[in-house]
Amino acid sequence: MEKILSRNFSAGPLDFAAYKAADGYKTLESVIGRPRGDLLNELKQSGLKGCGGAGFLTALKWSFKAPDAPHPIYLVVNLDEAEPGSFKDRQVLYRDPHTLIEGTIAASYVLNADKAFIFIRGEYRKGARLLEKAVQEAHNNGLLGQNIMNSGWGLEIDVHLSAGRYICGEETALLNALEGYRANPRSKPPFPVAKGLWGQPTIVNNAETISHVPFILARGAQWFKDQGINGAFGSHIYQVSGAVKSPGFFELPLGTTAREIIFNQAGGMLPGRKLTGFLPGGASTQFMLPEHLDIPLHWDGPPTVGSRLGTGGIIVMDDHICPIDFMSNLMLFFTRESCGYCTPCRDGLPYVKHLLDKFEQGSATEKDIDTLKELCEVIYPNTFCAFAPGALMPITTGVEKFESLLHEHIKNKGCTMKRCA
Amino acid sequence: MGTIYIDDKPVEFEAGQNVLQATLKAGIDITYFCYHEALGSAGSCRLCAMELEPTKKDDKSRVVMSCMQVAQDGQRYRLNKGSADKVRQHVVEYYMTRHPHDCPVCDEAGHCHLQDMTILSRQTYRRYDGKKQTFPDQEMGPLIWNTANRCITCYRCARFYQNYALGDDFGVYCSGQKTTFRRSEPGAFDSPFSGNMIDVCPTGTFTDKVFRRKYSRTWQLEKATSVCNHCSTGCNTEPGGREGTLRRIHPMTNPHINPHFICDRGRYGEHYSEASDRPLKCIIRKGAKNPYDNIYTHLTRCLKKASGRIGILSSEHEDLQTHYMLKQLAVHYKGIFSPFILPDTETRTRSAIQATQLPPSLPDIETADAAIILGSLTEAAPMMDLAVRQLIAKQKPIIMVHAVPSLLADLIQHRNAGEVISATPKNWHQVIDHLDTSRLSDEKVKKIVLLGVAGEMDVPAINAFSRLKEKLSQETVTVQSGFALEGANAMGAAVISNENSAHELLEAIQKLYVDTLIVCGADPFGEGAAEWEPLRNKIRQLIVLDNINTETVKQADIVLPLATWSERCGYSVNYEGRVQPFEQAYQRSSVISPTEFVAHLTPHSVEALYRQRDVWLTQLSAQLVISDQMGIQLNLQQLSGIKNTYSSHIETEGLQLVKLPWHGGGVRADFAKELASCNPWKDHYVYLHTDTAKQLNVTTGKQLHFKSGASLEVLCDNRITKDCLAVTPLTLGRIKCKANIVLPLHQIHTGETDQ
Amino acid sequence: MFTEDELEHLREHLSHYPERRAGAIYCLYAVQDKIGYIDDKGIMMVTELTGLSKTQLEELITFFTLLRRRPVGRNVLRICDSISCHVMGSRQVLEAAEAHTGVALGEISRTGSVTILPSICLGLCNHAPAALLNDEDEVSRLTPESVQKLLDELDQQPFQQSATGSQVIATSGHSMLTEGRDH
Ligand SMILES: Cc1cc2nc3c(=O)[nH]c(=O)nc-3n(C[C@H](O)[C@H](O)[C@H](O)COP(=O)(O)O)c2cc1C
Ligand code: SF4
Ligand code: FES
Repeated sequence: MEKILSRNFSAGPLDFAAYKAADGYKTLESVIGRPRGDLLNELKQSGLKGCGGAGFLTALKWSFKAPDAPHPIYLVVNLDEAEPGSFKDRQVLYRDPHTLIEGTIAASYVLNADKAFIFIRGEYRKGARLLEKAVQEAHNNGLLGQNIMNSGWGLEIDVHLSAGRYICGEETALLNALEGYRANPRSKPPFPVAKGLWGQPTIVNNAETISHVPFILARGAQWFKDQGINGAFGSHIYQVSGAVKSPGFFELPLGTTAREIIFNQAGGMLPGRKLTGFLPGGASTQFMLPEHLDIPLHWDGPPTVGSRLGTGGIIVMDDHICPIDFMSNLMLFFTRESCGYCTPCRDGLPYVKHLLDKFEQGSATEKDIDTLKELCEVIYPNTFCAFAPGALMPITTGVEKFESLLHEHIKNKGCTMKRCA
Repeated sequence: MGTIYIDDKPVEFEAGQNVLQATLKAGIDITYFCYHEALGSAGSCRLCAMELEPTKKDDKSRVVMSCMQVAQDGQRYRLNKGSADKVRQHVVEYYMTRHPHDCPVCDEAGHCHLQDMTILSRQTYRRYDGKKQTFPDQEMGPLIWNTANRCITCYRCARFYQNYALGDDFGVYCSGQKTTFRRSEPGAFDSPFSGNMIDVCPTGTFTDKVFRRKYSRTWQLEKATSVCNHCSTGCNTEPGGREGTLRRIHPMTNPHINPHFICDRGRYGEHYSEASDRPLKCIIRKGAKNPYDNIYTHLTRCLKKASGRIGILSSEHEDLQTHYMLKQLAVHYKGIFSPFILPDTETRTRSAIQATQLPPSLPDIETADAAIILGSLTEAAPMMDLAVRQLIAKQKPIIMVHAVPSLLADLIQHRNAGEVISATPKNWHQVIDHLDTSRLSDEKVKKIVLLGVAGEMDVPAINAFSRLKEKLSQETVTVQSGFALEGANAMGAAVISNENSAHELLEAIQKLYVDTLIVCGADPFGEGAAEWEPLRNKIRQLIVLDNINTETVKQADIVLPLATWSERCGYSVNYEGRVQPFEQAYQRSSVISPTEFVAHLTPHSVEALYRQRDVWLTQLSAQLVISDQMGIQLNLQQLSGIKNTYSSHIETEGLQLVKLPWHGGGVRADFAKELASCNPWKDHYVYLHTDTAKQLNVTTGKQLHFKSGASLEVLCDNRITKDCLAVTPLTLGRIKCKANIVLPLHQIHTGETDQ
Repeated sequence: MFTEDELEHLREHLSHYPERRAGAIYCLYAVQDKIGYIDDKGIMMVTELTGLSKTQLEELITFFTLLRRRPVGRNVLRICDSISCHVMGSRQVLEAAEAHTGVALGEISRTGSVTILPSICLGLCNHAPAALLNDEDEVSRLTPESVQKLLDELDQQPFQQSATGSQVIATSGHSMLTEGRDH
């Protein structure tokens, strides 16, 4: 497999001239000017799925844009990456911002968008500055502005630095944040494709998704398909964190197994540590166990054992941390980041956290296990947006997979593990 | 139209209705919080969950939020029979992980939506054993009490305040479980509609602070349907009293007037009835009284003696029944009756009624496509302003002409919602004639509402208003025009009285034909001092009935304590010509109603007077066009006697004296101390634009002397239109001037030139 | 607070959007970058620029974590306590840091050199436990010892008066509003 998104990573952020010298912006020659229908079709053939976590077919989402959609049409590049354990978009932003711009231009062309917003989480301020500079360079070199490459089509890119909060990554909350409102999600329908920013048609995609687009369009769907293994298409930047020897990010064929990623790429567990489980794609994915290591991590792999690919940010859990403490920490994150709009999320998740803490503190009873399960079951499908379901994915599976531990905590009146060396 | 099924029971719905609306309409009990009839669905509380049965055999049923589901014919929902029941129970349980268990000391208890929903969901035992999230309370001024811990984060308050009432000094703070609703700083709300937060909040987070001071459980209140007497809109209210005192005012739903809300003046202004200086005893200050006489025997003797020389004055703030009864009294003693204090008011009122055509109801205003507003509407009729705000929210074009600071003018400007023209009232007729209405000539504009504030307009301006109405009316465009009149029953006063009644009465006193004056619910020597004060010494006997301690009460020879509208029954006619009855909510022992007063002084019994009234009302309703539960609407064009023939001389050169209006103020509301304490305007000052001040050679802090001898300190305020001298209504009485008169420059002196 | 050029730049930025309020965060950042937090004067200015009221701006500020209405130390250190850092010991790091400053998290250290805040995942999971200094500089693989060393260094930093002279703020009350109260 060829490294695509990370091809320039080792050279550090390239300026326009260096990027160009390394064949940068070349894809645009075979994109801009081509009939948009053909391009969309090519994208459809490639089977590219959104890398933001949900894995929705990108071409399908784009095809929902009405043929007579009123202008202005907006593309929003979602770089709010705040899912714990995920840091792939950050790498593109910090190490090769021009790749992101190249993708944004190509995608905007296909969508006939008039303006693209790149929405960056506030903690990536330094990256936003790099990107801003790169946008300016692209502008100065005629790749942005009016009549790009004599196509009669023009585009502006606006880099929007957000100010924190995980919920801003949810696409409709993001639109509110961008418009200068509190980032509460909007009700769907209407979907952003029909009514998004300021009521106009808006397509929201993850930064990695967008970065793949020009290469698919320039080199063809088949080429993209060939990049994946074990039945998956394309490459993906996997990320590994936790008690491994070399945590980091690795662009690999989509479909690589967890064993390969954790034990080969990331160097395996730290000395004296044993793998007890892992979340395959960020904090809002379901637990997988050591026996699942050989499952290929692509869209269809983890679901066979009740999990999902998510962002491909693998969080490794080892025997130095109590799984209940692990879960409680996840809930700390989610209770803190709930936007506060709907009841099950705002008030239900803290309840879940309270119960988990009771086990750690030794005040839990058998009844609390039932309550915990009941809460997960009732909250999960009944919230306003996908935040709380995501939050509960590791909890529901954790409670199920580590249930014997819960009983043990009740018996021992608390946690007997020495936590987090 | 169609049918859905809730637990197998067929439920009809109208196109566009959501499932929750249809369910509630059908009278089925269902839990919900964030949905509100006026504010719509938010989908945030998740308490209205229902299970939607699948249409295809193999599909699974799913739990949906009924407030977010548009009803579709044939859909089948499970409310109590499916899995959604558990969801609703859980949601209530989540709420109770933070809601305090303080019902025993909560004002809301017993009429609390949260209590009802908790019982309805059967989630009555607690299993959560953790800490509760808590919040500091915020001081929210004299009208509203905040207990922040009780909030259940339904967002209704913020949705009402920001999206409906278009206020921007209250909002949602923080996020997650720390989400809280407050102002950026402690203190009273800017909005004239803040009291509604009490009602839209389904818990005791916001409660009525005035009620709190003299609290009663709401089910122990004596209540009735009443009509607000603080402006001519005539919103329906439900006063609640106990032990002979007023405790609170609650809005009463009237789909044609105020379907949901009332303004703060209506809610809090009524507490004038509890003012500490309210006259609550009969007082005889002059004239020897036989110690064995009862006061009415004494009065009857006085009146018999004065028969033929009696004047009876009421006001446009008093109700139609009062006017009717006083008229009977006048007939009996051959007196002259006027329900208007000043000829100017009568003139403006009659002209305005003539110019009223298809008067728009509040719902009509809300659904118009454009509006033209002449005058400070918020201050003259707050609820009309709230209706106009719905147009602003929908970004409909609006044009407004005003002279004094008006919240509505500020809002239109701030929201870029239209054009605001600041002009001296004496020039309005020209402004109106030259109004550029091109922004309303959009083809989407099918209904225009034209609203005038009668108290600020002179006859030429009202005539210009009529011309404008003609100009705008086209085949495809309907123009509905109406006025915020100068008193709650100004329309009724015009209906019942003869032309020029006020002028006639004043003239009769002037010419000494009348020397005994009965005043009921009017303040000629305060509010009307400009014309009445010079006649004071011609009146030998002054008999006053009132429920506030006015200047006239202070000067009276005999004072009788008058019942307020909440303390008696009556009829009032609003700006649309809608005749509305109101009932006695509670009984205060020491007061009398005008009917009782008249019954005591004439051979008629109260019952007989009521029978006569009914006959008269039936005659009047022969002319009615619209009829509904809540009152009859008079066909204004058919009413005789509303003609205006009186005209006073109008100066044109000089500075115009205008009343500084305030949305919480009013003849009676000024006596409601909590509300009055929010008044931003100061009495005994004259407010001027800096340019006008320059012209007069004064600055802030200097004195201006008036012809009457009074002097006022100057305050420069550039929100006042140039060429205007703006003063509070009370100040107006003090300098013995009428509103809207034009003072030639030589009548106003600065301290310097005097010395 | 702002020069005419800076104001012009902000106005120009706002004009890019169909509605001015979309630029509110940008303006609020501008104020915060200048004086370390958003004070009443800054709020007034952004009110004028965006047409939003004080309350509306505070609705935003209290929602978004990176904006603040109260003074902070000369440096802000956000120590991640999300899962990957937690697994690698961020709790101990936070405890050590808090102990070193002698004040509660979120408060200004006694020397005024730093305010320490727990943070959600910073996207630095491969450097766990990680932190972000002044929202720009990454701090990797913290230990209780290394964080104390870092704090010592911050204490030693020469004291620099900012252009507006208001970067250094002595004390601040714990905001009831943003933190709520636990009983
Ligand atoms: C709570 C929540 C947080 C999210 N955060 C992100 C994010 O940080 N970045 C992202 O690309 N997508 C995020 N998403 C997914 C987006 O809503 C959206 O589906 C995605 O940006 C679409 O892009 P894609 O189709 O390219 O994946 C989040 C979703 C939820 C529910
Ligand atoms: S304060 Fe009342 S109305 Fe507002 S959200 Fe809380 S419970 Fe609802
Ligand atoms: S979990 Fe700490 S940086 Fe991601």
